Amino acid sequence: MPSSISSSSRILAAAVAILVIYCLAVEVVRPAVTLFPDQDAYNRARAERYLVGHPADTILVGSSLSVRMPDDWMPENWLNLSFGGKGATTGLALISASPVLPKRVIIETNTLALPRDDAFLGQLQGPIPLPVRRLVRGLREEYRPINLLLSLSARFRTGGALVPRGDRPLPEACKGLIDGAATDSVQQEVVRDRLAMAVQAQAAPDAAAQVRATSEVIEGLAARGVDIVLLEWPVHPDLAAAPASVALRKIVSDAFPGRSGISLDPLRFQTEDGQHLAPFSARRAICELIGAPGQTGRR
Amino acid sequence: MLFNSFAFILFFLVVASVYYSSACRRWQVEWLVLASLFFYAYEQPWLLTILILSATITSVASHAVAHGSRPRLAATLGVVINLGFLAFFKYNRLIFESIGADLERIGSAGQALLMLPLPIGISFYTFHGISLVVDTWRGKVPKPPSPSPIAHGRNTLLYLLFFPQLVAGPIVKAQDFMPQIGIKAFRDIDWDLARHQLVLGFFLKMVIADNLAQQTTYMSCPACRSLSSIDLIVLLVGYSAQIFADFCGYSLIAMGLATLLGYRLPENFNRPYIAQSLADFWRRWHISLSSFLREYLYLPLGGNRRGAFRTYLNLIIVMGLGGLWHGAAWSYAIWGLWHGAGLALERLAATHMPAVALPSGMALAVKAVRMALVFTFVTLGWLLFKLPQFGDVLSYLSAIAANTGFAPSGLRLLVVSVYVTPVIAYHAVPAVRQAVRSFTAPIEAAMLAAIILNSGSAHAFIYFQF
Repeated sequence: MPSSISSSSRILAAAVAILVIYCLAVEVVRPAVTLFPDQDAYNRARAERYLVGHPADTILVGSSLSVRMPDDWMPENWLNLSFGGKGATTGLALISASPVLPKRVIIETNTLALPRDDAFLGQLQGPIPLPVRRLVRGLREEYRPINLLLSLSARFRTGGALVPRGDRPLPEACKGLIDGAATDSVQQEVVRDRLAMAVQAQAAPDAAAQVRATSEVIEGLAARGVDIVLLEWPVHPDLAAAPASVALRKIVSDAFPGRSGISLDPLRFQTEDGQHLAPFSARRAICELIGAPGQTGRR
Repeated sequence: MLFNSFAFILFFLVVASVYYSSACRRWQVEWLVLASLFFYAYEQPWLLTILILSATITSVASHAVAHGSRPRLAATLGVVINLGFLAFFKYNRLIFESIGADLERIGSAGQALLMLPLPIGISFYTFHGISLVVDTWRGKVPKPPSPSPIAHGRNTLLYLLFFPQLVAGPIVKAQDFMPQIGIKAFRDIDWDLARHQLVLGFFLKMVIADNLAQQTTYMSCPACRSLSSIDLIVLLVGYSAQIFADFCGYSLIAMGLATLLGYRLPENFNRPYIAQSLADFWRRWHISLSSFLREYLYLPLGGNRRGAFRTYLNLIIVMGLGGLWHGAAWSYAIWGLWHGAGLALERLAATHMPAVALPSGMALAVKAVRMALVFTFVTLGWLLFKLPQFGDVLSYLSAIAANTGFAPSGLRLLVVSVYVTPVIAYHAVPAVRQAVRSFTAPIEAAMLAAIILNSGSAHAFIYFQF
């Protein structure tokens, strides 16, 4: 064997050794992953968590509006299967393709007109095959070294969006959580601009067809015994009254004539940019969801 | 077919297995041509017709230059037709929009032509075509003993289509590639070199560039206006590292694949961000393009032989055209002119500032300042790559100036730092070569492990769009 081939073999063996040590360490330590470097990494890890068999009774599907709900503030048997930059339809596709269904699915309706992201769904099967990731925790998206590093760094950070719940039961933990407002004038202007852009946005021309297609998936889940809960997140009143929002609300109510939904009082919640709930408001929203009629999540 | 896809790995394994089999020994060149045609046609088969047409014209022209009775005419036609291909397929829409032509008046056929997608790799294979014709004209490509047009056509096809460099280079001069064409043996593969090129290339692309790409999506405007000044600067530095890792990674993978097939492609990068002048930067960044532009454009324009003013003008013209070569948008031309003007000013300054001997400590500080200045100049230029709308570039720069009161994101700073650090290490390696040499194997093993554990979402290579 030429020496260069044998040196390549040694490097390959060393790489395998590093992988084995890393995977063993993850298996033993089971680190808690609380931070991801970007939205795409979060989305992939979140979807993978569901695909490798997270035991959830209740699943929340939605967009970045729902992503605001932090895991450690959700009941243990809940799973947040929301993806930033995508609508509820993508999460619904994952659930409806699964042989094991949750008892309840909470569906964010604010972005129900967004189409399913097939490219994203296609990526979830690789590059490391899902059955391998199911067996070896260290090879999962969630346990990428960068995620562990960021989560470790988060332990040394205080304030900001990181609000540890501790051991307090949920409704009690939510008491007294009030968001501050942006004080920087440039930042306020930026928020105003972004809100103005969102208010002026036109309804997607195929919104009705998209929601109708999604309603078939949802009714399919309902027929398989899943309890469906429609949820409209509170947004800034100007955005809630914008023509596109009003039109979408009408499309959704037409597509689901017999279903009532949950909508939270917008006056009691604060957003960061007119659309996404501020950190404390997001946590209080979870507390209200759990307290809503018919919810059985562990508190 | 992306190099970082399973489809490509499977494709390469099949190609290499057949290539080195004893049955294929006599037909290695034909097999590589066939494989390259399949590689190119994999996603958009109809684009192959344009490539084959271009290759046929180049082959006929270069054969006529070598063996015909009117070599000057053949060479001129070969260059003009290749440039015509590039102009028609790459710049038709830009020219149409720039002259303010009326879409209604060109008819449906004209509109259909305008809607033609840009053939992948056209900027590279037309340059290869020009190189073959010109190098043959200059007598730099050895003439084959038998002037068989079929053998010449086959070799031309391999030179233009060779799949490791077909889509995004490195740009190989005909004088360097054509003499390499021949029968290759498995035992001659330089495994150490191929492994090093492939591991480093895939690491730079999949671990560094693809992960940084997720961060730099936040650079888009008007959303950029909501970021703090520090975030905007960090992202800009991150993009500078991303574009290097993406393109250097691609070039290394291409070189590694070529090494496995018994061919040598030219180095395309040599630690560009330690350059101490813009001229030095262009000797280190996309070396194959710089070398091509120098040999086939700058020197024929007169280079620096026709006085100071003409030298500055030549630099600006060459860099402006080089910028436009990257993309059919005026922002790329402005990017090229930015560099051209920088090179001209640098040259002007060098001729008017006498060299001063400095004490060693001071000389080191001056070197560091020069590196920082060149890096800042180059990195600001990348904004034109990232944000092709000139208005967005201005928004980005004004946001850097205005958003000083915003709180920066510690998370973003940490993530970008993590991925920029290996790029800095790559640039520092030769300076600490002795210390690093004994750790080469563990470092490559760690890079391999990182490719498995920490790759980002697969993105197309940035230079594929050119």
